[in-house]
Amino acid sequence: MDSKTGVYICSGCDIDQAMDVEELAKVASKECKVPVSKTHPVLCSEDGVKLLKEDREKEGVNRFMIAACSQRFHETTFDMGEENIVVRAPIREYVAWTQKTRDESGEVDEDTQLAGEEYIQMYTAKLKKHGIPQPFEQDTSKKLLVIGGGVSGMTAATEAANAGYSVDLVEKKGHLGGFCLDEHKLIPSRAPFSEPEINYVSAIVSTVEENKLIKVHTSSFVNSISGQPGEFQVKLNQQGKIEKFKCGAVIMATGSQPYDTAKLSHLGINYDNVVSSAEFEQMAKSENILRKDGKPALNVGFIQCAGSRTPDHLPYCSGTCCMDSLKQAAYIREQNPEAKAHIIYRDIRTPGLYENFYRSRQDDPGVFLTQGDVVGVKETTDKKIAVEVDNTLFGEPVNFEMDLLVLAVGQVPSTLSGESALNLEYRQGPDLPELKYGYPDSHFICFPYETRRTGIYAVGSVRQPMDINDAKLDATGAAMKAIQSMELTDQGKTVHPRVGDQTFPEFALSRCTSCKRCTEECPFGVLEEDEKGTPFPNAARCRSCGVCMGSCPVQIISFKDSSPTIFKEMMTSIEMPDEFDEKPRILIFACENDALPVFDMAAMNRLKINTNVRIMPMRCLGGLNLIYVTDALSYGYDGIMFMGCAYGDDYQCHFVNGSQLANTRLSKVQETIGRLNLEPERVRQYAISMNDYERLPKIIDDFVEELDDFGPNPFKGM
Amino acid sequence: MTGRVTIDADLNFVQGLIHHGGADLKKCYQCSTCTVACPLTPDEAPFPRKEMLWAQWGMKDKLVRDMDLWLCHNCNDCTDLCPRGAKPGEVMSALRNKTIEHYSYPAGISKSAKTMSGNVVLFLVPMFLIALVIVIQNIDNNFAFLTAKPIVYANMLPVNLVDLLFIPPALFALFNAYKAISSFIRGLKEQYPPTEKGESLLTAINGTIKDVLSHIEFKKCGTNKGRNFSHKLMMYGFIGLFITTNSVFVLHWLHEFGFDVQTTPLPFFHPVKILGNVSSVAAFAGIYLILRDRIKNSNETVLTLFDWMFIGNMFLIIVTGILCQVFRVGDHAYLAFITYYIHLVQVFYLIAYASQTKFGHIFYRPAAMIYSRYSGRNKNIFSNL
Repeated sequence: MDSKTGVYICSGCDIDQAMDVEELAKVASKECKVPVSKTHPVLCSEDGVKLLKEDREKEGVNRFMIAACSQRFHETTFDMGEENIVVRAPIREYVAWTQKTRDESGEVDEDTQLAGEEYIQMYTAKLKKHGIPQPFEQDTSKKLLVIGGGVSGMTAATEAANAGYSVDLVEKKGHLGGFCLDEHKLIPSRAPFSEPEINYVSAIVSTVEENKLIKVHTSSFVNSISGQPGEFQVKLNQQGKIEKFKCGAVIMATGSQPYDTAKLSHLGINYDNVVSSAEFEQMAKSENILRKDGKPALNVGFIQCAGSRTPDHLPYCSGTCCMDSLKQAAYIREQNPEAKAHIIYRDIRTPGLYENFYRSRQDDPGVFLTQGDVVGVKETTDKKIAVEVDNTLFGEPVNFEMDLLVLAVGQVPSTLSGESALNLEYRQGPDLPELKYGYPDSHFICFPYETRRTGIYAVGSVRQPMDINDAKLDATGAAMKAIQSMELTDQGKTVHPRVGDQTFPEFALSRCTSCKRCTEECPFGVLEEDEKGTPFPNAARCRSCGVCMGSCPVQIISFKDSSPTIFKEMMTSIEMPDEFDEKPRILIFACENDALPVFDMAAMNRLKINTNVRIMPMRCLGGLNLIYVTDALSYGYDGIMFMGCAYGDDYQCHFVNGSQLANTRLSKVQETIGRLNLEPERVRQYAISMNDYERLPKIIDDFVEELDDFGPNPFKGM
Repeated sequence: MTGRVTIDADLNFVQGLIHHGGADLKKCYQCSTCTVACPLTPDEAPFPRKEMLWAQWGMKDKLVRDMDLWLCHNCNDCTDLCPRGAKPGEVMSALRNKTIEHYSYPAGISKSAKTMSGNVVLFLVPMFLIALVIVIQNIDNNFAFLTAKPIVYANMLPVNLVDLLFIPPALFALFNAYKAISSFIRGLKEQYPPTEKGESLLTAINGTIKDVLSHIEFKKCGTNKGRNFSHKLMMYGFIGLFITTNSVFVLHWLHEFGFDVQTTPLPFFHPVKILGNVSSVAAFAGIYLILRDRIKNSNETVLTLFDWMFIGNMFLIIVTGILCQVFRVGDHAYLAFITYYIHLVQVFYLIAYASQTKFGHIFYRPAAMIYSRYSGRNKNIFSNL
């Protein structure tokens, strides 16, 4: 189909207070040679959209360049339908609101007008190279596989089934229920949150077993999972018998184990009358709160944070042991009114309404609570346990003699058990990539349910330490995410964070050198490779971040709307002012997720930004291909700023390691820049976040000032 | 393991405290708002926070040796500000009662004063004793005192007999108080060995008397501000009545030994009579205000039988004392003598069980205040205001 380009320039939102929009339209038609070039006072109005649609119908315009507000506004207003491409040139944010406006006599500022014109040129150049996105096609399944039959897994299965999806629920043991099934009682789950609850897990088991949409496989484990979302090929091992089926998404709810108390010899685990919290739960369940010699345990002590929140054992707080010990203190008092429970804690952590549970235990005269550091646990001659505690509220070092001591231990995710629950047949390995302590990696602030394997969701205490109530919520959320994934995959679109995107990496394989960089660097394990190392993408695993595009040393990877070619076209579409003009040009590559909103925010606050910068959005800094640097410098740009998110331990990247990868790549290019006799400082990466918007103008000015010292790029005009 | 104290939480003691005035003590989570709010606490090891912790853990040994319980004047600023509603002021009060019970000599009397049945027994003693003496004295003349005019209480019970009835219990009480207070002070000495900051015993006593008479601690109270006035009225009233009673005693025996002095009933403008009447009005006003405030605040403050017995006892003594005079002057013989009988029974209760009831604070509190000066504990009490 013939393509016909139209440029539409909005003059609303004070755009015409800064620029002569008619002049911009002329640039579009003369310089960029577009057949249709129009202005409109309010393009997002009904009348404005009508203009666009009329041109689509009557003039046959199918490529639209909207020079108005940022792409983060009016996304659906300017949706011109499938097969029609829309590119947005944010002259409102990048020019009108951040540059000098008309002077008192109504004259436009020369630099401002020039910025507007250059953006028209850049984005029109992009539009010309923009391809038409195509959804991928595959034969999808909408069946959900849930691995793990504990509370999390059962809840996820039930929620998905209630939404009408069929579920295969796989449990390693011979029966459903998981860890919580064996609990004596459960922590409170509803108002007033003040007393332990009767164990209701068996009721959940029956609901699951009765649900016709849920197929339960007990005594089974996953032998292997291959393929991609929508068409995962699952091999199930049911006591030696292999069963194969297809599923659309996977929920991994394999839970956790209590921390191994054998490692806690310093807390006396080897003495007769010291037990772990899990063991104590069973003692209470059989109403046998006894010393090993069979005498009733009248003085029971609890050591909180046993093996938790310490670099020697678990460095984290599991958030469950405080509630568990308070619950177990209630057992002691219930089963013997003469018995006393002593809880020695570092901090009692009972957030939210759990505070009520803490209060009702605290009100019990037989529950004694003190903060303190346990410095020693010893066995006395009569097999009592002497607990030595410092830094208590008593104001002096104290000692407690207990009949029975309970060590409240935290949770260890099942991923550390040594067995893989997923057995993914992925190039990047059989398991979900981990961040820390065996918990799966994800951008946990923005996308808590996600993992680095699309369509596979970790849930419950395998995802992060959590109690039964949180696990139920978590499982519900993950079931919804899994359903979302199956549905989007069915439509051939990406899942979060670019939900609904239909552009996927395309590989010009004839030029591939099989360097494997893309297959290794992909944060989501999208790419498989053949024996020669040629990459093979699985589109449904892809989140369209562009990390592969950035990684490719021969630039064979591209997207319909983003590619090395498009970037090059954009940056070379403007006429580079020569070195005597004193108009340096600085290119800013801005990550759409973190940096672009900062620019929008600065614009909304009308902060003035250096007039010599030109901004180009990227999907993620991970898409930074070193060719951009050499292209830009050789065209005469004086400096390049790459603005993205913070990386490292507390990374902010929507695609996990994009900004980290950008940093690695840039460190390699510095040498090349040096070889061109240019200052390596001309190219720099910045970690930036929303709350930096006030600093943004200064960050840019400082960079420009530094460039002044180097003088203009000698490649200008070459 | 030197200096490591073994803590054995005493569940019974905690439960006892909860049942006797400290109902909310378990709610304390050691935020220390109370110690910050308290206008009386010293800077070092301030109260009532540590007492709350000891109370929660049932650390009886520490508590009964704690002089700070008695430096507290029950302002209830702490109770007012406690974010958890643990009512530290009430707990301190309950702990003082526990201390009285702990040192009570003989041990049983204080326990009895805490229960209804125990109190019945405690009252039956003077009721029976006084009634018996009246009967023996008057059975021969067929209770002529009822009809004799004018009404003279000595007709029913001659002053000699009154003295005979009250001097032994008074001595008994003094002896018991001595026993209790001396072991109390031994306890204080163990917990707070005297420091070089301390004052000499004489200065300490002198200072304490001044503090008590001026009610300097009460004056710092916020929430229970009114108690400064009512307690002062009550205290001075009772001191006045104490002097009155002893003056009458002296006058009587001077008269007996042939001195020409006026004896009972004294004329209305006799200095001793004036003192007695003014004192009883003051004491009545005091007890009335105290009662009124207690009833008004009954939602916030928990009063145990132990507290009510003391307040009731004081109230009845004053009221019957005043009514005695009213009925005598008004010439209502039966009412007058019955009131007088009740008055005697109440006074007997007050005197005989002085160190075992809440009245015992008149021994414990000054003792602790003197010791706090003597040991140097008081040194920074007033410096931070």
